This record gives sequence, structure tokens and C-alpha cells, in this order.
Amino acid sequence: MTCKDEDMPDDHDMTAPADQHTVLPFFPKSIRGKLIISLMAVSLLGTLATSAVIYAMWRMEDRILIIESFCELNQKVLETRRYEKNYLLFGNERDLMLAFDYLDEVRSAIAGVRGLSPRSMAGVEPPYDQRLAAYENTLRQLRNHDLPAKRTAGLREELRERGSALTEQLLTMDAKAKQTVEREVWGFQKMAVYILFLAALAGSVLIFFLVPWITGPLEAIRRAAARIMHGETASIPLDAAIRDSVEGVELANSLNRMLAALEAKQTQLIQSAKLAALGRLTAGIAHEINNPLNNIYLTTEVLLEDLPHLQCSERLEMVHDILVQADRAREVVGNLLEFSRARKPGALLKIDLAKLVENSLALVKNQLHLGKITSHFHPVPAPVWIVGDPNQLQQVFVNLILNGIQAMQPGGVLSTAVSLDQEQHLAVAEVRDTGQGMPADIQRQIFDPFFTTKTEGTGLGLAVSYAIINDHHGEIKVESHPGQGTLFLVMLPLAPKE
Amino acid sequence: MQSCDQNQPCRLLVVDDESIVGKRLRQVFSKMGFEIETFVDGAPAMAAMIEKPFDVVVTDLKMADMDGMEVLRQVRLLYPTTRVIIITGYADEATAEKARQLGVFEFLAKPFRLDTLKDMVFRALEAKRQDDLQG
Repeated sequence: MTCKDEDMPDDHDMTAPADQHTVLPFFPKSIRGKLIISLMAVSLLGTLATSAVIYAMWRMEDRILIIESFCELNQKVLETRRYEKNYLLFGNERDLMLAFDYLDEVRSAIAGVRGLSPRSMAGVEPPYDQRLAAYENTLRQLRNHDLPAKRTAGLREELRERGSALTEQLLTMDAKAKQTVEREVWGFQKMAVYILFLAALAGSVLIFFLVPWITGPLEAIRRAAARIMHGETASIPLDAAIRDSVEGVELANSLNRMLAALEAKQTQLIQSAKLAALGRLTAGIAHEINNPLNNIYLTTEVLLEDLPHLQCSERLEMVHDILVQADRAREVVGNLLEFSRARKPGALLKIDLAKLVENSLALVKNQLHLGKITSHFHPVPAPVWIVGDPNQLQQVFVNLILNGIQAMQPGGVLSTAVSLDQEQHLAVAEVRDTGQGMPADIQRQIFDPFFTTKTEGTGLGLAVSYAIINDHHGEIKVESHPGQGTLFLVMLPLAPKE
Repeated sequence: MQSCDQNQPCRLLVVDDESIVGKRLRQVFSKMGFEIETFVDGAPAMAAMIEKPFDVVVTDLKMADMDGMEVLRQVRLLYPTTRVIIITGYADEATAEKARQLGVFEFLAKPFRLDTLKDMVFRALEAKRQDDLQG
């Protein structure tokens, strides 16, 4: 953690230190803030795209108005020319006056078109005004009745020509304007599509960056939790990724507090389990020592009371009883000492586990014979090398085999096997009996000191075996079901290859 | 002779898987005029009890087949006036409490002095005698 390397005299609150590496100080430090910022960014993009489309539509409406105004202008010009034609056909002075009137309306229509047209558009080109003025001039001259007929005919011809020129030019301009408008509308449509596309793209990019930005602290906590599960760390480190958000820091702190509480609880549980085991041990010792002691007391007191009246053989028997009971008490203490000594292995040698099990079987040959038990041994072809104290390990196997023999009726089968688990780098020894098996509640207690189901024995055999195998970095397991016999598995690490 | 009802000798039952306890108590109490029977298992002891009831039962707590608690329960059920003394090498408070609920006369921790047990047996006999007089 870089935080620890730096000298931070001002930072008293170590649970939530300020992130000094943030490039942009206004960036929110909470998931809530980040969500708000993100939603705002997305809605901004949406608003932008919508505005672009609305603007394009508004501009298009504008252009449609221009086309409409051109249409109106066109109508007015055609109207003027209708009166012009009437005048030329029937020579009616009234038609001439009406044509004049319509010219005014043409002018106002031109003004309308110009008002709507933006500078970018040609609209009504200035030469058109001159043409209109020339047309009007011809009309005005025709109002003069004093002109010679020849001159009038000339003027009429001129009027027709100028009128048709007006119409033609208007049509050209109209077509041009329409073209421009169409081009512009197409441009707006393109722009709207581009902006929409850009907004969508920006949205995707935003999501691509925002999602990790928002979920980063949670992801960091998840990774830390995985590391805790693998036992690589004891608590969630408040690294930069987590300190990036207030919620992340709070969550990490809560989880760390919970982890600490759990650990305390676990320590407490282990402690009480230890105390319970110590209690059982004490009870076992008390029972195992108080019974022979009581026998010694009773016998001694009877001897004291009745010594003169007792026969010699009776006295001898009682003294012998005292001796046997004193031996019993000494044996219990000796077993206890051995049990505690089991934690200090002697010389470590390279041993063939198969050979060791075979030797152990040879040692209990007599018990097998007496119990009428058949023994099957399945060795591996090659030696299985382990490292350990041969005497202690022999004690374990003799103990397991004797337990197996004692659990069976005559005719039972004791199977022993040694195998290799190359994958786990383990040597595995099995001791299986065909006895009555054990229920689960007994199985849980068999490795406890002084626990026994037999009428004789100290209840220390399996506890000592367990301690020895544990000291050899191995494992001892029991598999048993009532009525289906019992299997003891001893797993020991293989000797390192030379 | 310790006489109980109708001048019959008092009957004492001892159940303990430690055979020496039975042997020594037989020596001591038979000399005192008790009619004493000793067993190392609960089941045959109960059979003997049914055949001819005892006045006081002294039983060990931890035994292979039928434990002292079961002996106590059965005796109290069959012969409510018979007193039961439990002797044990070790007993936790929960076991003692359970025995009290089942009506144990006394709890005696091993190793015990002979006089303590004798005294307890006499008190048990006295308590039974009171019960019998009232009954």
C-alpha cells in the first residue's frame, strides 16, 4: 500500500484516508455520487441528441415556408400576367389597372420571400427587381392614350416579352430555391443521424468506462475476500481501488470488523474446546488414579483393622492387591508422560512404510492367533519411503492393529495395505477390521485422551497415535459405520526425492 | 449383628467393576453382621435385588454395561425406601445434579475412608428405618 509509505501527519482518520492520487478532484468519492454523475452524463447525451433532431426539424419547417412563399410569389406573378393577357386581348383599360395593382402584391411577395430566405440562399435575385421595374414601366407607358398606334403595338410586344421573361426567371429561381432547400433538408437529416449515432457511441464508451469505475471498489473487496479465503491475508486492505468510494471504505471497514469479531469468536471457541479437552483429561486422570488409590486405601484399612485375625494367605493376597493397584496408578502416570513425550520425536530416519507395517503385523502375530483373526496384507511392489521416528510410528501401527483385533469376534479379517498417492505426494497406510463399527458420536471422541469403549485400557492409545502422526505432518482418519467394520487411514508425506 | 426388620440381618448390595472394592467391603461389613452381596456388573445385581430386596445399595458410577445412574433409577423405582449411595472416581456437577434428582442418598468420592462409608451406610439404614416405621 502506497499510503503507508508516505508520511501523512495530518491524516488522523486512518480508516478512511483521503486519496491523494485522484487526478480530478471533483470526481465523486462515493458510488452514489458516481451513479448520479453517470446518469447525468447519459441524460445529457440523450438531451443533446433530442435537441439536435428538434433543431433539424425546425430548420426544415423554415425551408418549407420559403418554398411556400415562392409559390405565393409565383401565383401573384401569374395573376398579374393574366390581367396583362386580358388587356392585350380585349384592350380593356381596367385590366391594365388591375395588373398594376397586382404588381404591388408581387413586390410584397418578393419582400416576404426575402424576409424568409437566409443569406446562404439566393432567394429573389436583385436583377429581378430591375426586370419588374422595366415591366412596370412598359405598363405605365401603355396607359398613355396619346401614343401613335405603331408605338402602342411596339409597347404591347415589349410587354409580352418582358412578362414572359419575368415568369421564366421566376421559375428558374423557384427551381433553384427548391434545390437549395432539398440540399439543406438532406444536410439536416444527415446531421441528426450523425448526432444520434455519436450519442449512442458516446453512451457505449461511457458505460464501458463507468461500469468499472462504479463497480471497482466492490470488485476489489471481492478479490480481497477471495484472498482471505485462500488464507493469503487476514483482512481487506484499504487500497486505492477501495478508497475510491465512501461506500467501499465503509463496507471494507464493516467486513474487517466482522472478520476480527469472527476471529475472536474462533479463538474463543478453540480456547473453550481446549478447556473442554483439558476437563476430559482431568476427569480421565482423576478416574484412572482415584480407583487404584481407593483400592489401596480400602485394603490398607482392612489390613490395619483386622491384621491379627487374618490368615497368612489373606494378608499376602491383600498386600499383593496393594502392589497391583499401586502399579496401576504408576502406569497411568507413565502413559500420561508418554503422551506428552509423543510430541518430541526422536531420531528421524528414512523408513519404508510397507516394511514398517509388516514389522508391526509380526509383533502382534500372537494376538492374531489367539483372537482367531485372519490377516491380509497388501503391500506395494516398491518401497514407500517416508521420514520419521520408526519407534513412534511402529507404536501407532501396533496400536491400530491391536484395536482392530480387539474390535472383532473370532473369524474376523484384518486387512492392512500400503499405497502411494503420487498426486498428493503421500504415503497411505490402511488398517481395516470387520468388527461392529462405530456410530458418528463415538468416532468424534476416539482421538480424545482417556476416551475408551473397552473395559480395559487407558484410552490413550489413539490420542498418542494422533499426536505422533500429527508430529510427522501426517493425518489419521477414521471411516466407520455401525455393523460395517472400521477403516483407519494414516497419511504421511513421502520422503523428498534425492 | 446389624438387625433390621424382624431381627433379620441388614442387607447391603455393592456394585463396582473394581472387584477389590467388593472383596474388601464384604470382609468389613459381613464382620459387622451385614448380609452383603457384591457384583461387578449392574444387571446381575438388579436380578439379585429383585430376588430379595436390599436395605442399602452402594454402587459405582462408571461401569461397562449398566452404569450406577441406571442402578439408582431402577432401585428407586422398584424399592422407594431402599437408599442408594454412589461412589465414584470422578463426577461432574451435572451428573451429581442428575443423581440428586433421581433420589440418591449420598455421593461419595473415591478414594474414601472406610469410616466415612460406614457412617453413611448407618445413616442410610436409619433413614430407611424411619420410612418403614411411618409406612
